Amino acid sequence: MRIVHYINQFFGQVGGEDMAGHPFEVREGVVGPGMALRGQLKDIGEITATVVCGDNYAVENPELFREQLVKTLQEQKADLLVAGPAFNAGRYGMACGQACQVAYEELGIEAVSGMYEENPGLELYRKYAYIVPTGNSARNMRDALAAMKGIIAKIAAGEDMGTPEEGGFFERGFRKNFYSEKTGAERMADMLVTKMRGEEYKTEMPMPLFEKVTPSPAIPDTGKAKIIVMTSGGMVPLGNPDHLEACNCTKYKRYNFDESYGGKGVTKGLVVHGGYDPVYGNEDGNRILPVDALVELEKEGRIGELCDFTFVTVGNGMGTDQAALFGEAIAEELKREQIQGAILTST
Amino acid sequence: MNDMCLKLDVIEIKDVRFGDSNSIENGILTIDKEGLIEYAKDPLFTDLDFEIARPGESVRIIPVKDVIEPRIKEDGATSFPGIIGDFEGIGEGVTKVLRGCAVVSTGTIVGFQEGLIDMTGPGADYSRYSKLNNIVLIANVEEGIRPAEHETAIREAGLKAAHYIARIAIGVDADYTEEYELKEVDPKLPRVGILYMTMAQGLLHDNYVYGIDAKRLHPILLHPNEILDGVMVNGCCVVAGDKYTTYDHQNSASVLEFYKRHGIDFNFVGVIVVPTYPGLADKRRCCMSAVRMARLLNLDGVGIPEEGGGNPEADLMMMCRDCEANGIKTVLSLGPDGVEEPVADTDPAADAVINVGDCNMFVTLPPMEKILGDQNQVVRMSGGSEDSVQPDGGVRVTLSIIMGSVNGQGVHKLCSYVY
Repeated sequence: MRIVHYINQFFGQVGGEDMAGHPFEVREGVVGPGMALRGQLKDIGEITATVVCGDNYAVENPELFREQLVKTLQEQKADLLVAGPAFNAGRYGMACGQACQVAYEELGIEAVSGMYEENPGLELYRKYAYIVPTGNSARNMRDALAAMKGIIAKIAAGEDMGTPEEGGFFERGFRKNFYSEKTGAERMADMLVTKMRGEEYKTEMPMPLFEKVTPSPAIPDTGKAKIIVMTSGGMVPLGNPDHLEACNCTKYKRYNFDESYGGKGVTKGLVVHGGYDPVYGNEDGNRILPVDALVELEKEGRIGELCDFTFVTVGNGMGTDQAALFGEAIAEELKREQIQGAILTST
Repeated sequence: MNDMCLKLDVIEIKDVRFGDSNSIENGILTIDKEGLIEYAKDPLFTDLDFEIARPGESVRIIPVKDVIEPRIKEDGATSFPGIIGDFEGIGEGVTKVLRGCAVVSTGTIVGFQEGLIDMTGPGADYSRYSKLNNIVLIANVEEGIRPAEHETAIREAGLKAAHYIARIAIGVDADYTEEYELKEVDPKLPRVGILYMTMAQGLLHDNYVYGIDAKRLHPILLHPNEILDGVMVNGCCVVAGDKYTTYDHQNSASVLEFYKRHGIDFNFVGVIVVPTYPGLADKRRCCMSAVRMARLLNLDGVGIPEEGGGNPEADLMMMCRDCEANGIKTVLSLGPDGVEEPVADTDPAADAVINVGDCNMFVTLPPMEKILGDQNQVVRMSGGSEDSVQPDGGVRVTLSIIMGSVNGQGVHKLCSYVY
């Protein structure tokens, strides 16, 4: 297996904080911690090149960094990227995370790193790499490299990594299917018997705690407020130009009523939500996105202004974490458009 | 009181053929195709045909609406009480079962949430229907027919076809007989039941109990034998991976498993069918009443498998919370949707949950030599997308689209974890 190792200016022996602007540099073979790692990886793989890059350079030039790293990984025909370990060095952690993201997202190359649990790089980039927990400083180098070697060996052997507990890495945030020894029905009966006996059992799906959303204070005078109506009911323009999926939808879209629905209040569109009979919404889109009623309210002066566009997604089968991301992004746009109130219709 | 004993006279079907007349000989089911078409036809259909899809053949059936096992009471008249046949003797006496085959309905798409069955390849690993000799009903309707009428026509045609085929079993000796009876057990064993959630959301999300639309029902208590004896019928265009087909009711994984444990691990008392409505007031009415029934039955524990996903989790959590608050232990069973927050509702009382696998996993299904139905519909179906069709004619889809892949009753061994 061909490995590229990413380290910063400090571990590359270029210099300390004053050299954090050191540009992206590729050196052949191993440098710094790579020497110890090379010994451990003898039968597993070879570190063909080391990238030495200043932490500030990486964080301040993300586009350039991405291009340079993609090129390096391609030239080296890398099978794996190893970054750090970064311990509790914040900017180094961010740079290692960035490097892992480039490898994983741009080229589909697995990445391995090591960080202290409070390193800010962990939270932002955990998805892109197997990141092992380390101590908070370079004094823990030996243990960190041993843990990283364990992961690298498993990747090289094509072994299943198992759960974060089994594999000794931070949870990345992916779900994976596997086959249990028993059917779901057998497991259900087993767990029920165990639970009724008062013995220990382990849930197969820990329940999340939902964030409680505190409603905003009431709008003092809706007669002066700008209101938007939007829906997770999949009422898209005819022809579904942006290909919103019927289930597990991956996008939300902003549509203008005049351009996309035949005018404000006409709401001529198409239901692409896979979770209900679309006949009634197709007949009259206002049944899903009630613009007609809001236009009336606008005329009566009961709302100041009805926003002339909407946001649409398909709620069917969407995970709440994905929905929350959409919500945050949409809220930003609403703030920018100085909208005071939003009506959300679901189906 | 007389106990209810249901005897399933099982005839194993090893192959299916079309012929001039109907017969079962040495496990080979021969069907008079013209007779079958004549019996199952509906004025809404522009055309109706049947084909056979066997395990291992390079066949994809898409979009699938329902899967039905041919079963019939010994009287030769009853397969689905309230729809085809009468109510007398349901859940007891002899029922003939043609095991190893099924009627699968396909044709013009009714709604988005229909599924596919591959008879070979990687897709076949995720569906129990891929292992059956399927008699595929292909019916198309004129454009402009409303989905609800279309669904009714195709549902009834499927049931009729299954009934027609099951009638061939009358007078044929069984290969073996299974007996289902809730025999009296050690009174010290804990008393358990199943809160059997069933979709009743309207807008193509419907099931039928004794022929009654479940959205007109309050929770009802059934003997598990009734579930096995054709009382529950699927009419539900819910995500294919996690809805129950009629076959899933007839061969209910949770009922059969609880039967196995009856008298050993616990006392299986009964099944409470709980309609899953969309509105909050109906949800509260049904869930609270279902738990009151469970208390009336003195249950110590319940299994609660979920049909569908998302919205029904509100019902699931209500029942879980209410049961636990009243001293009834619960285990829930469902598929996760998402990573950090895999459910649409949550409760700290839900501390024992079976995970039947993640339906969002992508699989690439290779092209098949023969398509029964219309593969182009994949772009509109839940689990498919505009990008699904591959240049080679295969499809890249999520498990959601594969019939029964993540059935909440726990048919399969699939499970998932977060890494």
